[in-house]
Amino acid sequence: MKRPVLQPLLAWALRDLLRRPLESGLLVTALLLTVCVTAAPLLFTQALSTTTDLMLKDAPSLIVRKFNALGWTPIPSDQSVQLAKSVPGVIAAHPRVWGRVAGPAGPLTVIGVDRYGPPLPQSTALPGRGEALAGTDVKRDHAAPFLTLTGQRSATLRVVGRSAAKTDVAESNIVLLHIDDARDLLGIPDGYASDLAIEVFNPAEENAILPDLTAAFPWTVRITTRTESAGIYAAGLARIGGMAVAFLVPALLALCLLVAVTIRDRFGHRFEIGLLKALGWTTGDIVRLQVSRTCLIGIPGATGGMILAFLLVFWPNANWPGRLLCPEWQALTSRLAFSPGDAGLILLEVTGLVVLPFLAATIGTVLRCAVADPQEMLERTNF
Amino acid sequence: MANRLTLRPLFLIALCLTGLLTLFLWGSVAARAAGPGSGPEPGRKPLDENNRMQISAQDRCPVCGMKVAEHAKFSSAIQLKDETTFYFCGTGCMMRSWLHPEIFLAAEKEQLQTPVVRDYFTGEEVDGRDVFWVAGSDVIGPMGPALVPVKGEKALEAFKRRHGGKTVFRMDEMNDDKWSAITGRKAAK
Repeated sequence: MKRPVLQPLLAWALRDLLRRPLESGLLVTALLLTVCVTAAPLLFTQALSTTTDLMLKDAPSLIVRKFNALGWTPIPSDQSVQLAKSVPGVIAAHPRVWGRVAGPAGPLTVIGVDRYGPPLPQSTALPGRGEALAGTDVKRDHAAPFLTLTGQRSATLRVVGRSAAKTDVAESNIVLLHIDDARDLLGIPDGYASDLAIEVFNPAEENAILPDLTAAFPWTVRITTRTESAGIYAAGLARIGGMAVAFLVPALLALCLLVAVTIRDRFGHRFEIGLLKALGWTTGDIVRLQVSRTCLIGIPGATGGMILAFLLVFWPNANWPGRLLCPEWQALTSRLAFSPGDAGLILLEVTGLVVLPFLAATIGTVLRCAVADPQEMLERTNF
Repeated sequence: MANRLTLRPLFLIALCLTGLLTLFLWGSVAARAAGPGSGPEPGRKPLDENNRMQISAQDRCPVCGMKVAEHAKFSSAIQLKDETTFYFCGTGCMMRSWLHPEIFLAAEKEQLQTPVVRDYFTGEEVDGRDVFWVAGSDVIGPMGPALVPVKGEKALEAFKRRHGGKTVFRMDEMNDDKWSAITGRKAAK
C-alpha cells in the first residue's frame, strides 16, 4: 500500500491553516518578528563580547603613550624600549607606528610593519615602500588596485595583498604599510613611534608594575593595561546590554498579545473540537492535530525569526545594530565574531522565552477543550 | 520445609558477606602488590638537554593531583638522578616533595638531582637553588599564597616593593621547621 506523503493529521492541520491563509500568515509573521526582535539584541551583545575577547586575547599586556601639554605625542622608539626593559618584569617592548586616517569609504586604521612586527599571515611578504596590505573590508579606489589614504599627508598606495584571513575580525578594517610610509602618512618623525607595546610574563604584574614603569620614563606617560581595556569594554557591553533590554520589553509585550490571541482563537473554535469529538475523534487525536497545527506555525516562525536575527547581526557590513546601540561601532570593527556555542545558548533562551509560551498557550487551551463534553461545547457555541 | 524457608535468608546473608570479604581481601592484596615502589606517576617526558621542562597535558602534580599544564606560570619540576622527572602545579608542592621525597615521590633523598622553577618575572626556567624564595607576599599561586622564586637581587627588591614578602630564603635553608613557620602546617602531612 502506498504511504501518504503527509501524515493524515498533518495534512488535516495544514488544510485547516490554509482555510484561513491571511490569519495563519499573520500569525507566522508575528511570531517571526517577535523571535527576531528578541534574538537580535541578545545575539548582538553576545557577538560583541566574543569579538572584544578575541581582540583583547592578542593585545599587549601594557600600552605606554607619551603625553605633553597639548595631548598625545610620538614616543622616542629606541630610548623608550631601553627604559622599559630596565624595569624588572618587562619581558618584551616593541614600539608601534599606527593611527587613524581617512580612506576612500571612511576612516581606516593604518599600521606600520617592519621585521619586528606585527606578525603577518603565512606566505605574505612585508609590504615595500608605496605598497599596502588591505583588510578584507577595506574599499579601494575605483582604479583598483590603488588605495588613497589621507592623514597628516596624503598617499596613494598599491594594494599588493590582503592583510588577514576573512575570518579575522580584528583585522578586517586595517591597512598594513611599510613603517616609513606609515610614519609619513601619520606625521610621525623618524625614530619615533605612536606608542610602546609591553609584555609581562605574569598577568598579576600588569597592575603591580605600573608605578615602577611610570617612574622609569622621564616624560609624562599614560599606561593602559589589558585588564583596564577589558574593563572599558565590559562597561560598554553592560551599557549596550541595558539598551538591548529596552528592545526586549516591546517584544515581550507582543508575545503576551500573541499568546492572548492564540488562546482566544482556540476558545473561539471550540465547536470544531466538539464536532470532531462527536464524530469519534479521541482526545489524543485532537491534541495531536492541534500540536501539528501549532508546529506548522511555530517552526517556520521561530526558524525564520532566528535566521533573520542572525543575518541582521552577522551579515558582513550589516552594522545597523552597532550604530543603534553602540555609536563608536565604526571605529571598532565591521565584522562580528560568531561563536556557535553561544549562539546555540541564545537559540535555547529564545525558544524558552517565546516559542514555549506560544506552544503552552495552544496546547493548554486545547487540552481544556478536549476533555470537555462535546455536546456542551456544541451547544455553547453560536455558529 | 519450614527449615528450608528459615535457612534460605541466612544462606543469602552468608553469601553476601563472603563476597564482600573476598572483595576486601582482593583489594588489600592488590594495594600491597602495587607497594611503595610504584608510587606517584612521574611526568611523561623528562627535562630536555637544557634542563627545560617538557610538560605534557596529562601530567599531574604528585602532591595535589592537579593538572600541571593548567598552571603553567607556577609550574616546577624535580628530576631524579635516574632522569625520572616529576612536574608540580606550584612551587609549594615542589618544595614539600623536595623536603620529603619518600612521601610524595616514593624516592630517597639521595636520588634527588635538580629542582627546576620559573622565575616569577621572566618565566625563565632556572635551578631552584639559584634563586631567592619569597614567602608571605600578596602573590597567589594555584594552591593559595605562593612561595615565589625570584632571580637576582634587583628583581628581588622590585618584587618586595610591589608584592611585599615576610620571609626571603634560599632553597638549601628550607627545612621542616621553616616550612611550619612559614605555612603553619607540617610539610610531611
